[in-house]
Amino acid sequence: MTIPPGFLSRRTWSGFSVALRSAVPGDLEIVSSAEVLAFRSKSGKAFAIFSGRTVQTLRPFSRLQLFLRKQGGWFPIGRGLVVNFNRLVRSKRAPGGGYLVTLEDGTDFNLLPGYLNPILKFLGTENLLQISPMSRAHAFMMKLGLKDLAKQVTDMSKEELIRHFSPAGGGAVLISDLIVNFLWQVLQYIRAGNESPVDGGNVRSLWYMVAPAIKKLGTVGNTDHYKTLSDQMARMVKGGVCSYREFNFYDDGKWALGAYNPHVILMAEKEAHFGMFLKKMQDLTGVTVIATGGQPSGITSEYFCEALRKKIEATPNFPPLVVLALVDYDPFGWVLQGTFMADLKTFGVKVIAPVIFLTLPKHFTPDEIAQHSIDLVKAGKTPPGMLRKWMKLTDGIDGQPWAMEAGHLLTLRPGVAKEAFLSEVNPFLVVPYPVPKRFWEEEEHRQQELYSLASQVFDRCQRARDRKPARKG
Amino acid sequence: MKTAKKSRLTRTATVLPTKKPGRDPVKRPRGRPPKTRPETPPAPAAPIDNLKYLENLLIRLVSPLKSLPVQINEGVVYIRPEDIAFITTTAERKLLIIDREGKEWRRFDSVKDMMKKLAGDPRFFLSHKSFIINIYALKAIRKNPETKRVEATFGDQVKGAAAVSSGNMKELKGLLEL
Repeated sequence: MTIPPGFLSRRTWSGFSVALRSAVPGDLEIVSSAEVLAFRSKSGKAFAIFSGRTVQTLRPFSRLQLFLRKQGGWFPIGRGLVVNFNRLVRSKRAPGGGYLVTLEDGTDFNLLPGYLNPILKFLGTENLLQISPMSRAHAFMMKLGLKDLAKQVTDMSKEELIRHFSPAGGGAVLISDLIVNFLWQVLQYIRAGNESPVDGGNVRSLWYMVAPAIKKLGTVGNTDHYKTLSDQMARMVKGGVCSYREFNFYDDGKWALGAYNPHVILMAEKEAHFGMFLKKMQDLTGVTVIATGGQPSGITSEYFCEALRKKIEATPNFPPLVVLALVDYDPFGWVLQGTFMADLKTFGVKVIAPVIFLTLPKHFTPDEIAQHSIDLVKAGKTPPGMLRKWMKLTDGIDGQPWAMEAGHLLTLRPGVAKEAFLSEVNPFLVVPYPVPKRFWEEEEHRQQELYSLASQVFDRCQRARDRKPARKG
Repeated sequence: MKTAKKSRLTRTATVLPTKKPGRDPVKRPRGRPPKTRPETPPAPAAPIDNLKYLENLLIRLVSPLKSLPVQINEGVVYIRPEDIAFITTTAERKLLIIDREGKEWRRFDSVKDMMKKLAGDPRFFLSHKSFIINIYALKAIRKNPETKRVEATFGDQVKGAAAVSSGNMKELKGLLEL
């Protein structure tokens, strides 16, 4: 068997001898290449970089490279710089581009992307930033700007916040990154088995926790960072990283599952329509109802879908879901309905059938249209692209970019609205209308659940108050 | 090479007795006590660092493994196989790697896949369907008085313990030459 030169040192990373020029002229220092972090070429001379010192080598850089090629783990990462990757401990994205590789003693080197491929081959990975296989949720969080922080964001000083959350060029602090890291830390705290610090609260409660940290940076008043927080929270939920339920938020959404025909969902965009129309139709037909109140709240959508999913799982042969939408006959109404459908999909509720719209021009008389329709072009609130898309889908009213509000259908022609709903919903009903009023039993059950939740919160507050020492005097 | 491995194994692993509590495991000598020999002078201290270095070199020579990449929030950390104490899974079905200093690292593959990767390395042993242990990092094998199950511990720095299933106990004892 022929053993190639350098075999043993390649397998054991023991290295080869390197002669260094000593401070005393003529003297040489001999070290093992395993101790060297990198070799650098500068002004025609070669230098060995150790932890804390750099010494000139006896051999020129070109001769050293010949030896280094025989050794496993030595790779060039830039012009005139060869690094010992046997001592690699960490790799991450460099602030100015490329990669930052950290060796055992904490020395950082910038790796240019052009030199990456042989290093990846040596390490047996496909990427210096992500391992394989990779968690989708973790990769998503990395994209959002997740960092390795030893301290809680809320406990950091102004200087620490600036150091961690300023971009490479300095300047402003990335509040969105700060908020993402704060949310992640709260999530990890809850996942470690602790009680949610915002138990029974809402997203605003989280804002009150992080606002003091942002205030340290003096930027609270300038921008609506609460919106940033709720947006980042929504992105994390939609990205599958967490759920609102994990934070145990309180949901004050207006929705109720149907007792007899829960597979039929009657959705309205305005909260006022919940009492005006949805509840009445639920009493009559036993369908599921939800009023989104404009843009659907993430918490409401998640909790609604969670309850619906439980109902579907508990009911054998659950019929396919159908959605009826009582939204304005305008582009924004269509978008809100689209968002609601997307939320259903995000939270695991599958709807195959197309949405049935209730507010349609055919339900109004020509006089009512002439009197109450809105010219979307004249109103100027709708972006042209959005209007074009809606016109393509609906053809407006008689080919004109006119809109009708859902409220007009309920106030001008309540009988027509009811008839339209009943005629559309009838083919999908499993239990024909009118249904018995057993719906109220479910409602009462929900009320009891809310009451027990409120009692728990009240008890906790009382315990916290009892723990406080009594004031003297 | 084999001798070095043996000496290392017998030095690190300690198996605590797991007999029933009511019986005295120590047999009392009968009759006249044997003559005691005068104590021999202690041997000079072995150069542990050099031995450890040599041992690491030998294991690296045998092992096909390179540093194991694990995920952190900003990038990747590479941990050496010899630094791993044990590997298990989390509640979220992620792989949890605990090193000899007690630090925890995450990967996203299964124990089965990880064992396939580590199969060529004599240090790693599948002690339980959800635990891989580094037998060189092992400090004790004991019966947990609460759970009544056998578990492997890895010193004071490493929190927690790795379960050892009864079916794998014999094989583990064989590896540890007990």
